[in-house]
Amino acid sequence: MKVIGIALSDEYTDISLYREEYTYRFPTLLSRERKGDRFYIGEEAYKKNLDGGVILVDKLLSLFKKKGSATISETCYDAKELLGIFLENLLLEGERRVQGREIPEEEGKDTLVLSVRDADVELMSSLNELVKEKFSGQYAVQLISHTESFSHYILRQDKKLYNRQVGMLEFSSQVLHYYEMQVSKGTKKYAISVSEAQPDALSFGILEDPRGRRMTDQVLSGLCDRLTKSKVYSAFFLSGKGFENTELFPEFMKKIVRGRRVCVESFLFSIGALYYGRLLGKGEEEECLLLCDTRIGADISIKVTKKERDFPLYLAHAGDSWLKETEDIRLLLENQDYIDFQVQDVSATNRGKQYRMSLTSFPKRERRCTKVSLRTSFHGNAVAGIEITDLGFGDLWKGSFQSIKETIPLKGKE
Amino acid sequence: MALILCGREAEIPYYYERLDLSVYSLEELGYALGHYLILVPDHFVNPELCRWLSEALGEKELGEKLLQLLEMGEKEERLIFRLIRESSYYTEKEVEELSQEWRRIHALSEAERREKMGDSFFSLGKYKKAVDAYQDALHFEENGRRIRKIGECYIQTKEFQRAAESYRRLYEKNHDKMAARRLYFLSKMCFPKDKYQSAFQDLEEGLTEVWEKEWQEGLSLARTAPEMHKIEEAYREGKEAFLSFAKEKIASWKEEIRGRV
Repeated sequence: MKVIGIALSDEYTDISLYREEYTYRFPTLLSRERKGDRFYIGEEAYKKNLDGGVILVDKLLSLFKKKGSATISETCYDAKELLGIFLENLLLEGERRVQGREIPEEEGKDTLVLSVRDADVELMSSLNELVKEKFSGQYAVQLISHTESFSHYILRQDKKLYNRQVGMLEFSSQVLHYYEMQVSKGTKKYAISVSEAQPDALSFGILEDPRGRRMTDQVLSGLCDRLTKSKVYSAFFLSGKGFENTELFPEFMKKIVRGRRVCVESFLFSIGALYYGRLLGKGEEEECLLLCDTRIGADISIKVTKKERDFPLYLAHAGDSWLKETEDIRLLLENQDYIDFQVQDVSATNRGKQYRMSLTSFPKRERRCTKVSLRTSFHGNAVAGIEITDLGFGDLWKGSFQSIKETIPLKGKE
Repeated sequence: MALILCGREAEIPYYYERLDLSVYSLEELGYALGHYLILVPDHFVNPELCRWLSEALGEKELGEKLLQLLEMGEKEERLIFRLIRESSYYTEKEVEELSQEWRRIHALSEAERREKMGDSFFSLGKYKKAVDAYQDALHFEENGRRIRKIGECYIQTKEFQRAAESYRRLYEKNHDKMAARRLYFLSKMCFPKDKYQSAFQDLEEGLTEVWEKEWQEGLSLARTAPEMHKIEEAYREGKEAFLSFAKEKIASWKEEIRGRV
């Protein structure tokens, strides 16, 4: 079973293949020969650029998000194409580096998990489309956020490390991100994780200068005071390229280790993605329900009947990835011109909310002669889109194929 | 009130020949069988249907079970009702009622059964098949009702000459005033126009004048109908436009008639 975890960002991309120790970091750079069509990535792309003879493109993820393009020697490449080429080359380079090494033999499906920091709906949907297009022939592909990857990483650690709240600071170039995770106690086991960008942005460039390092140390210390005030952590993690050498920030480190366990893992996100890939490859999921920016936080169901027996039909379960493709459901209306949706927030104690979709605009037909298709889609983890289409009843009653679309909130107020 | 959860739909439908119907799901099959029980042909459950259930619908267990029962010589009624139950379209109570109806149908005489088949085809708008069924019923046992129904079918397929013949036959059989009235109007659409003149000689005085007045009123209404306006408008647009309009209109009428066969 081939398992690969990738953590993608504008500055650098980490790839973990098969095991945690086979993890490599590449600057997210792509270059192409001016006269020729060979592409280079990472450090090699940078070196080739210094030598001349190539055109360099960086910030591939931002370019992709903006739906931009880049022209290399009169050939215009759109951002999707460039990012696709980068990822293809990344996989090839990763495979080349582990060639000849000891690889664990495990039964399962080849899986690729890609993690990105920003769980923006449009970005995730476009990226999901790209990775499926490029890699679904060879791998079972899954896209997650860094917040989710953080959860997968933590849940693989000793239980003592997450028996209370877990905190993490990610320090990358221009990025300081705080993550938090808590696993619930009790019969319903779920892990809630959240993340928040910090207003302080620090560039790696200033770390070369002692004053720059002192300033960074002060900023990190202040951040530590702010974030950890009156919070009790079972463990605190430090990740990202910025924390590769924690000796640069002595004051911050003195504060953060006071009264708590601190672990440093620079490649946390790609390793978290790798851990998740291993589970998926075996057809498994995390034991506890994950609630984060890439997972739905509520059960959505409708009441249906089959062979005169009523039961709830779940359109989605809490903990499902909102990027997961759903299958259309077909229903026959029996003297009913509406559908009620029950939304139960898994972390709430109330009975949930009910939303009614009226179907009175559909053509009126004989009893049990209107079949509808129900399609569920998600726009992030907070909103479900429902589309109901009138199909008539085969050749017996021609369908109008009229569709009614509505959105249902999955958390908070209506 | 309920939402009935449906099963898979087939990409390739099953063609239910007698109903001239393409069936895409088990629910549609259940409906077609239950609503038109009189029309279920002998040996409806056959290996082809079982294969379609297994392969196209993904109902492997049902398809194999039915095939197994078929090969063991299971009775047609049990096969049909197994299928109806598995469709989940009807409640158990409704299936019981259908079962009783099945027994009633099979207790009918051949003539009555054929007539009921004709009625079902008529309700489906399959008038040619209805005529065939009524003719069969007539062959077993002649009665005025069946002749009238044949006439009704021919009116639907706009075969006015044949409709007129049916009503003439009906009138000669039982001197029914309704049949004479229908014949009077149909004769207006037949050639030669006076073909059925002799049939009205024995009618009470003044009746044909009343019908003639009705006919003329009908014609006046038809002249002011929206359809007529469209034809006149097309005519005013010129020869080419009118010929194109006429061609389209005739094609749509033909399509409509073919659908009634």
